[in-house]
Amino acid sequence: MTEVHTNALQTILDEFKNISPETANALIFKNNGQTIAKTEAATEDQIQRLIANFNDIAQQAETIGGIENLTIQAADSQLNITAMNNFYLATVSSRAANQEIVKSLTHVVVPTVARLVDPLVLQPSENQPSGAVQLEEPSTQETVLPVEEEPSIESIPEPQLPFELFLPITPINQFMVEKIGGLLIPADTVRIDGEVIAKWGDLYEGKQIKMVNIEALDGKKTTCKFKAIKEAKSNAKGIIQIPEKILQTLQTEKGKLVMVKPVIE
Amino acid sequence: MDQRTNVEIATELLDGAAVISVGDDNSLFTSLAASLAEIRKLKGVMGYILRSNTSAIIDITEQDKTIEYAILSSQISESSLEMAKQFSLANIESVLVEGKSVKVLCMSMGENRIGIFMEKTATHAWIIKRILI
Repeated sequence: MTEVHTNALQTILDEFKNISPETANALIFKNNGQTIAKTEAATEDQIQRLIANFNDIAQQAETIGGIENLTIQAADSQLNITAMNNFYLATVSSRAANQEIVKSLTHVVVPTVARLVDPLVLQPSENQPSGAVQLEEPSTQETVLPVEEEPSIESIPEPQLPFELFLPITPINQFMVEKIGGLLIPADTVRIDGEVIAKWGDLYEGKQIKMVNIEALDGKKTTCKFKAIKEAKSNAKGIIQIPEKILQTLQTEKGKLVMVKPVIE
Repeated sequence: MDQRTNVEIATELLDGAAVISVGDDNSLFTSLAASLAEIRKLKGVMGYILRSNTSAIIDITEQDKTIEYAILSSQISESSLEMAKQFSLANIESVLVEGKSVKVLCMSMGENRIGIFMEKTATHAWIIKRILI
């Protein structure tokens, strides 16, 4: 990685304190112990110990397919480590920080820049498993004329591969059912935690989300309209309020869990 | 569960889960065991490990992964404590490690350590709340 690339990541981290002042520390590292960028507050000793401990977990985490994300939540603050191709981004922030901003920085902005500046990403052949390369090489030697190799060079879209990772996968959320009823409650509309709806809005910016698919544990499904739960209380977290009619369709009841995903139009 | 020997190691089954106990009764352990047995029934929860200084309960669907999961949850508990210390994070509530398809939630309650293994779609926030109640 060149100095220019490192500077780009350092600039982003320097901006952290302006965008999210509650983020006390941020650093980007490689699992070989190399620090790519860091905020001033992080000392070399802290960083090296963090990487060593992270690697200890990563070694054992092969059984769950490696580490994509690690979050330590303490009473007032939290430490988060997000994997980004060949790098890891670690942030230490207050739990009072706006989580939307922190998430947008740690899961979107920094990974996007990291992917753009990571030279390995721009050389897909180096990222391919060696086994796959070995399989291709003999076949070209044996049969295909060299002329046929040229069109494959024209497949310029290859560098776009990393960007495909950013295409949002339809999120599936698990909610606990609460029954809702009353004269002014429409029978065809469920109510969902407003934070989840806001996240969908962020994820599918510009797309309309008017309906949700709901699936009960036994596989019964339905599609219906939705609204945010009115009460802004923390109790609304992880809750879906469902009118009687939809409860009957899903053959579920209060206290049961359902899976909900937005219908993207 | 109610009767534990002080010296001998006892192995028994609790709703299909292996329970190993050595030593005295631990009421928090018993209470956590009950909560985890309930959490275990949630969709997406693949199993859990609960251990104290004297007892352990292991209930993992993929039994061939029991040892690997036990080592992983133990490593997460130890290393996350060190990481938290480095950055002055006090009173750890939970540690969540997300892999490609599985995520692990680790929590410590007194001397009791919990590791819950679940699919990535499972709602871990509710589980944390349920345990902290």
